Amino acid sequence: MKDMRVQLDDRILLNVEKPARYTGGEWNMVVKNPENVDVRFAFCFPDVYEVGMSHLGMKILYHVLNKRSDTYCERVFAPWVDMEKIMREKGIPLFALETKTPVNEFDIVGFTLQYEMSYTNVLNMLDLAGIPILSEQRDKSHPFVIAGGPCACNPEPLADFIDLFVIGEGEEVILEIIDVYKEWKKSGSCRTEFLRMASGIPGVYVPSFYKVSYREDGTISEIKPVYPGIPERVTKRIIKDMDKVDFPDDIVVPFIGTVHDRIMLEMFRGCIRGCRFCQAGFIYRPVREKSPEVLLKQAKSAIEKTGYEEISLVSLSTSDYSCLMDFTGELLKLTEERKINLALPSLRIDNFSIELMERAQKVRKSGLTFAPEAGTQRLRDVINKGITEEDIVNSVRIAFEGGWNSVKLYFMVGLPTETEEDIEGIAKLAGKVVDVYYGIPREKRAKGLNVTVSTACFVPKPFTPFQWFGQDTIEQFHNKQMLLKEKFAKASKAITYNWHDARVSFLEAVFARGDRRTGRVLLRAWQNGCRFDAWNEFFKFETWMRAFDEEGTDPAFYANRTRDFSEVLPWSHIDMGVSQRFLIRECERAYRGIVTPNCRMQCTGCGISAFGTGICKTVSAKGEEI
Amino acid sequence: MKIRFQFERGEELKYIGHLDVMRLFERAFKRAEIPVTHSRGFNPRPHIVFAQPMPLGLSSTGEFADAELDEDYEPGVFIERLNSALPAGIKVTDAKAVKSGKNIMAIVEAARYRIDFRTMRGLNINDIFSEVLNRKNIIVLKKTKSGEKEFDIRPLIFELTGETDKETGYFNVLLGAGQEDNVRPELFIAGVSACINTDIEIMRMHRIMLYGRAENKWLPLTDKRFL
Repeated sequence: MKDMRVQLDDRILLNVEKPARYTGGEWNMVVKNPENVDVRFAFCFPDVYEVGMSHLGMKILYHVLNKRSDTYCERVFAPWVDMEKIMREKGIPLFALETKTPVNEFDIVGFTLQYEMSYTNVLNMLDLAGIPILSEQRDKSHPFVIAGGPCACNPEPLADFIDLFVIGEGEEVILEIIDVYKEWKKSGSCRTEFLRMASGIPGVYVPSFYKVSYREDGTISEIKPVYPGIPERVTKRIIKDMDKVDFPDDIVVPFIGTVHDRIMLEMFRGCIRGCRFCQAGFIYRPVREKSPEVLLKQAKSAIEKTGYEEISLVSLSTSDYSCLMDFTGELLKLTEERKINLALPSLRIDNFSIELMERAQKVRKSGLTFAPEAGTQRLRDVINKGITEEDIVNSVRIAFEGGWNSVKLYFMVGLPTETEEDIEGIAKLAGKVVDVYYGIPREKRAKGLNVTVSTACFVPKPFTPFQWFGQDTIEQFHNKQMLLKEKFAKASKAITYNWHDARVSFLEAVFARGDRRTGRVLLRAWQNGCRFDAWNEFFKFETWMRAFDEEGTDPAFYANRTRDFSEVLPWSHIDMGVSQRFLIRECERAYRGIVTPNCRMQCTGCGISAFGTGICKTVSAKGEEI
Repeated sequence: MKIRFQFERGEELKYIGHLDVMRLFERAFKRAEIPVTHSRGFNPRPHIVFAQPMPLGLSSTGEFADAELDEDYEPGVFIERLNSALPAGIKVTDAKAVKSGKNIMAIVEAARYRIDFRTMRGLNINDIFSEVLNRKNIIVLKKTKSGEKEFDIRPLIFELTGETDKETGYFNVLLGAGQEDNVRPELFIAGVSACINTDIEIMRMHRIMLYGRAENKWLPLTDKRFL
């Protein structure tokens, strides 16, 4: 067999930033002989190495795929702009780190979709790989291009580019796809036949098997399968028993620093809270925990196999783990003995957590983060953020008394029902945090208060109670940001105010809720030079607007228009387990400012109990009426 | 105990910087379960000191570091255990117990490099030697924290040999190293380039050995007088 491996010499590698992004060879990298496997899988993360290597999902799937002796999964990242330039000049195709094999030599090329602003990188990577960007232009000589991840819950903007999507959690379904692929390869059938076979796997969505029809007003009239035997709706996959699912302990340890350069110990999936703006809180339902015994075993093994100096707990809300106190006590024994740091993200601040943090992190008392999300109690009730001003004030008091002097406060602007009073509430709440600090006797607090207030722009997302909501315009966002900027200019000097670029949030809103027609805009924007849109220095808003214009597509139709409950949404053939009825009910309760209890207090009948696992087994499902 | 180990870094691992190498060893010690003594205080750091920073782009056969260990180790066992926890491309080749209290970084005063190069026109190696070695000063621009500074590298070129064949060639050169007067191979090549008024393209840079000075001689760091 011809050796197609890409050769990178010093003249390339010593002329790019961080050449170790492209060389592989890290500790625990899986080495196999590609000739001894049936299926070669290229796992692509559509961003630069340091970002992609921080992604837990990739580590999990790399591990489960490579556990199979018949499959070799390799890693592919987006080359940084300096490397891309050299690759294009010298005609070097996109390659995988493990064997440097060009990506178009693989059987399956899989992308993970973590944020909308990585979509142009998906197209760019396909192009660098020499794989036709449009699915319909691929033939038997090309790999199958598949994609999954949270953004796949509305796959439609990428429908023209991806052969099949995986909806939901990937550990099991990816193996089933490999099995079907092997069967298909043996049969020697045509490309469409593989897709037909794969569409029979629960959780697999083949966009080319569905036809979308539109009304005159631009809304969708229906989404229908084009062949018999193709499911009307594709239901997400989940892992039923988190204790039994494979979890990687032999993760690849990078040579160069990455964004999250530590062991990530996943405690549970899902979130009990149901904050109405939070997509993760709905699409990852139901809450499924790992037992402390399993977690401790996984932690110990990962520490031994990686040599990492830090381990981090991973979940949507650390404080909601049911036996957090006992578990962290045991885990700390393990980490202290080995001089390993324990990172505790997304902890609610109370006396217990402060004590825990002091014990776990023997580092400087740097910033603590609080996320009130909204400035008034009324609006916090609207979004179902179940915390009160008293909670926040108490938490920061505990933090200041514990020696912290730097806090970050996260808010969103543009939430449904928001008024000027709510915006002013953000400034007032920040002011109260400052007052709490100065209310503590000088000798009992650390010197030099630092309060950072950040406002994100609310992006309505599919499968949330706000999925119908029209986003604020860029101008409205801007006015709110300037109002706050003015308020803070007159407030305490201890407060720093940051705000997100509303133009980015606007595009996120378009592609989060876009239909198939937005794919053409994506292609055009990429052709016009957009990529790395999640990076400020490369974000080209005018180029994006030109792409919408050239395709005759109105972005406001997707971002700013409030939909009726009766509208056929672009993702209505995708079933994430939460029912439309529940989302409507939650939306109506939001507008009335009624808080919904969390899953542990009471079942509110979201529909996910049909999966018959996790928290739904312990909390009786009878909450339809609330 | 304090143990001094020599290690080599191959082609596949030369694309990482000094901090990355340090982190790589800290993690390898943890994987090998060799207990390194940690500093006291807020943020305990393992006591591993590298003789000379290893910049990105360089392969080497002559790197050294001292590690303070909580337990005594037979050098042979130490080498085997650490190597079992190191990735391909980096390998411990020797280890010895150290009695000397002197900081290993303070021992290093020179480093020997092999630099493979290419030029646009054929060069005679003897012409290069005479151009370089007969000069009193060779001024190059050295990057510092506050910008660029003029730096005379001539007193820091201690030995120079090499060969050329048409447009390619190599130097074997002993250059000043250590905390004070470190001459990176790129700076040396820039200096030679200026002397002979010809662009020289570096093809490969390799560090052969680190040296200290004792009894008026250059001695490799492996010399027992440094232990």
